[in-house]
Amino acid sequence: MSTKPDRSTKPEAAPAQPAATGRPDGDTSTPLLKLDELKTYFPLRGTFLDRLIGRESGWIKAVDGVSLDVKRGEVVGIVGESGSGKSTLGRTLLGLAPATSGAVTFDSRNVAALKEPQLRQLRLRMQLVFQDPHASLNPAMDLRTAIADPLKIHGITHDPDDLDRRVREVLEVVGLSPPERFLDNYPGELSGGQKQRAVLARALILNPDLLVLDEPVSMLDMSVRAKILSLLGRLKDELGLTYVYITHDLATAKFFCDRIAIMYLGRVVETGPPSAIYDDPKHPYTKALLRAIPDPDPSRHVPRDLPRGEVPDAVNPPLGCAFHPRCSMAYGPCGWEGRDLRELLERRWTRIPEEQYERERAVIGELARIDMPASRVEVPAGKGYQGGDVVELLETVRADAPNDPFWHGVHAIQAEDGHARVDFNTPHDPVLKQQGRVQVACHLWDPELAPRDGPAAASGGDGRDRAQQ
Amino acid sequence: MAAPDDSRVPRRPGLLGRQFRRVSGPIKESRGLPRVVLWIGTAITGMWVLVAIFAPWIAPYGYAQYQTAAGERFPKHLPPNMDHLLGTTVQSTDVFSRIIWGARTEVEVVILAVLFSLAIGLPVGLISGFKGGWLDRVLVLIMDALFAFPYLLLAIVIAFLLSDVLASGVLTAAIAISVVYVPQYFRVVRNHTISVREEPFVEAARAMGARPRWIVTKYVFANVVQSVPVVATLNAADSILTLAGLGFLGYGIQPTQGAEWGYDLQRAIADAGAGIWWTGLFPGIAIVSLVTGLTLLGEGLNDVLNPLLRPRRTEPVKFPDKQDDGAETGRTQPEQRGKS
Ligand SMILES: Nc1ncnc2c1ncn2[C@@H]1O[C@H](COP(=O)(O)OP(=O)(O)OP(=O)(O)O)[C@@H](O)[C@H]1O
Ligand SMILES: [Mg+2]
Repeated sequence: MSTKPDRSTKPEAAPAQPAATGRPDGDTSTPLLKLDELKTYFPLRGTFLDRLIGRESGWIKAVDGVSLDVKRGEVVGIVGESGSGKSTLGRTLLGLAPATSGAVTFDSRNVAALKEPQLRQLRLRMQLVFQDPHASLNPAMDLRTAIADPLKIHGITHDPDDLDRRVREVLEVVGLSPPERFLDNYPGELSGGQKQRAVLARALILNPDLLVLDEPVSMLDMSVRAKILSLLGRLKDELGLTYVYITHDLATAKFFCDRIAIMYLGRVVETGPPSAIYDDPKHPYTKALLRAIPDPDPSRHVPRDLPRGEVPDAVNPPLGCAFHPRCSMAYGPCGWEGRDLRELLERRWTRIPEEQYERERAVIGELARIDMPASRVEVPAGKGYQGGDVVELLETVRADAPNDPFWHGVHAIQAEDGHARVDFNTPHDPVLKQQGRVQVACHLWDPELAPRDGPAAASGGDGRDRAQQ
Repeated sequence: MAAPDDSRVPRRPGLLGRQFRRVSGPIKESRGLPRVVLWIGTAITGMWVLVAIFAPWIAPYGYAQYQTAAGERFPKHLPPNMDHLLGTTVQSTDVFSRIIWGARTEVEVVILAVLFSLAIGLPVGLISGFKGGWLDRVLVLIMDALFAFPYLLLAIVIAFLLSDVLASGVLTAAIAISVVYVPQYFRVVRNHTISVREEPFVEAARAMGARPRWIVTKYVFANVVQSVPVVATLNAADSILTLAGLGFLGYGIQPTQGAEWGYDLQRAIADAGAGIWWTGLFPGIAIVSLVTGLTLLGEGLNDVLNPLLRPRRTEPVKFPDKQDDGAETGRTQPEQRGKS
């Protein structure tokens, strides 16, 4: 049934032949995989009433506009904190999660628009390796059956001898040898590293072009990680594979990837070659991530100021740049809004003495009214207070911490009847812009928005020169 | 690559064989109370099954026989004696023989009933749980409605409807009973399917390009079917009672079709007042012992097979002793966390 006879015999044939030959589209100039403004939203499960009347109560924007090219033979790393949408991106690439909009072009076909039967055909050529090798193997299937299953699924062969031969071959390829020792084992009888090798064998037996590796080593023991990673590197060269390598670990991404995309809350904030990103990170988030890598050398003292606060929720991401509430360098156009004001007040109130808190809290009415993603909020006055009192309080707050980035975003504060109106600067969505060897989505690097003394101004000319190369 | 020699491709047990291995492993390893419960249950149940199989050789008389081969009628209400080990009934039949033949009826009906309800409950539960959506909701609604119905009444209605259609009393009773128990299999299988469906290995199968049908049969089924033995044995125990209940009320196996303990109990009611205890006591003991055996078997299996209840036995930690002769005297720390 296979239309590509060479495909099925690859584990023995491929090491002999160079990566690009024997493939109809071995051209390296057109990307193997191209993401274009890809979005994957999950409907938020609302209350029972919402569901009863069929009202959508919102969307989890797991992937929110990602554009990325993956060339043949390349290893592209997707790096980000938990919840940034890395796995969802990987699942969308394979058509396992339906894309909300945008396109995934794999070999000149749009995966996002394909129906399940066509996708099944495509899955001959793109495979997924999960984070948890234990959970991704069927506990009721021995390795022989599990690894041969893709061949049966795609009807490549049903001949027991042929299946057996291929399974043995691929087990050797992933380093599970001698195969006899593993063929009749159930996943429960293997170690974590062996299981991940088995998962790899199952992915490789179809001889795919693209492997999406979703944190393939993060559940493994430290000693096994390096082995699996070097196995992956060797297999890539021998079998001419292309990897999308998902991880939250910048340290391994550094030596494993040809290119890295840093993701935050469903978007790519910075992308470029690892050397550029490690030596000269541009985005404040990348800088924070790099600082968070544990340093094996204790004599070197690096500041460990992890970004404050939690990853915001992907249903209502912050306006403007999603990172701005946690960013120490945020300024005017980053998208300051009502929720930031509430956070500022609450942060202040946890620090000041009890009686001062009581006094200040009374001035302001219901805080929920400013807790919204809006660039203009009306801060209600408490009982017995006027809008003017609120303005006065806000000015006191500003005077106490004039350097808080928040105040860069405030355009005007005005007393009105019963409330104070706070107008913020217009939020701008950062877009990826070439900056030296990397692309970064940060206003600090945008010559049109950046402050005069910002990094864009300092290296602006230089950066633009290099971008044109 | 050398041509694969056939000797290297060992014949492997089929799916059922491998499933059996997965089930029998924990049984062999079981310890303590669950093991005792399991073995007592197996012994009692096994005894009754043997009795059922060898009934023609064990029973001295036929189940409806009331006279000797020579045409000499047995005395009625004869207390237990050498000719009639457990006495005779008001119809002059031999109590012992009726109990032995009754075992055969019970076992036949229960096996058929379990097979029928499995044949419906398992696939429907699998599909319902795997597909989800409105199909699942409708099926759950139907099954819950069936479940909420008083079970004996349901069995009576089905038995009554079928009694004219089917000639075989055993078949009628088995179908009536299986209708009662289908919802339980359905529930267990469906809920288990829903949890297995979310496992990464199911998504992995999808990522490999497997069709839903393939995923259900190769990936979901094998993991769901493990919950069946426990439900089946516990339901078998319950269905003995249902069968006896049907017989007692006169809707079960008819006296012309076979011996049935529930029917015998009903006939013995009148005897009890007259001090004739043997016609009621022995069928009663038979029912109680078979139900107990099956229940113990089911509970034992549940304790042993259910990973949530199974006490986690950590491997004993061995510290090599510093002894001159180098012999490793293992200091063991057996640790057994009982189920709570
Ligand atoms: N099937 C789903 N239905 C609803 N929400 C989902 C689903 N899958 C993921 N999400 C949500 O999408 C967001 C991104 O999740 P995702 O698993 O892609 O993150 P991640 O970057 O892989 O995190 P981690 O490093 O923890 O694996 C999360 O907020 C998550 O709750
Ligand atoms: Mg993930």
